[in-house]
Amino acid sequence: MAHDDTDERRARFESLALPFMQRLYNTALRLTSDPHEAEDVVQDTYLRAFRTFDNFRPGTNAKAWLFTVLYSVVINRRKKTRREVGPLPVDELEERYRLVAETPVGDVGDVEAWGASWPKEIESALRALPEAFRAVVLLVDVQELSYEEAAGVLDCPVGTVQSRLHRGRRLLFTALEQYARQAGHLRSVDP
Amino acid sequence: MTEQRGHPGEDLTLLVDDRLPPERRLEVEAHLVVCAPCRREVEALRLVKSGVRDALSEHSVPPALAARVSSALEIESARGAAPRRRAMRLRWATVVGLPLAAAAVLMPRIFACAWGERRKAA
Repeated sequence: MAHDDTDERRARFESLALPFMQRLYNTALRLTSDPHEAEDVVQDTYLRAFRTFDNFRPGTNAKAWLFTVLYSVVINRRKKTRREVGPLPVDELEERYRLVAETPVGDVGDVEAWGASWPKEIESALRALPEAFRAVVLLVDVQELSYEEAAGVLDCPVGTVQSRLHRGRRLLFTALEQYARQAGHLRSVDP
Repeated sequence: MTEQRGHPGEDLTLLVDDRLPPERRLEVEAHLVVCAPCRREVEALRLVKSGVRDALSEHSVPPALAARVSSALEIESARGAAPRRRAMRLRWATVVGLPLAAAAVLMPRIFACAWGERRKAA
């Protein structure tokens, strides 16, 4: 009897959560930049989600719930291992963004025309973003969560998501501009 | 909303994501008509948004990871079943065992009392 309940619970969890494994793995990969670490994060995410599955309300967004668990696993593992330097302080983020924001956007058409090698360059540019911005871009632009869902995952106000998303996209464009320029695909930058 | 008097700033991202209230949207669009740098910024934001969504390649899940997750869930599930079985045994013990034990202890006393009363009465 108890076995049937347990099997049924596990079957329900697996049918709800396992289809998101590729999304979780890719996000973990881009947050940790380490395939082995990403695998551990995904396994921990599933275990933790399974343990708290009774708290999940059917009908709510399973994807957002799993990403909330994943992000908390990433943060906790980082605190425990202390292998990685934590996110940049807000002041430093502001300064980094200010330098970009003061430079007007150049010719977008030139950058777009160079887009043949994008998958590789976008991946590099994304991984080079400060984590606070990278996490928001991953959740909203890649995983297509709403601002509100992303705010829930990151446990921050919606206004912070909005601000970080804007800055993250601007920094990404600047990085792509630089790659295009290095590759000789950018004619000029308007002052 | 940010930077209402000058360039729209972060509101350009809200415009790209279609999250501006209608009135503010009209203001921002009016600003874009006269401001080339902001127009370019909107183009850049749109390019990045679609680029990240469409051009980023998805890495496949390593087969070993899927197997690890599956077996971890199986072990966790079995671990969860054991306390439940113990709880079930405890419940049965409470419902059936305790009253039986109480009866076993109390019944001889009740009989003894009843027998004593009878003898006194006799």
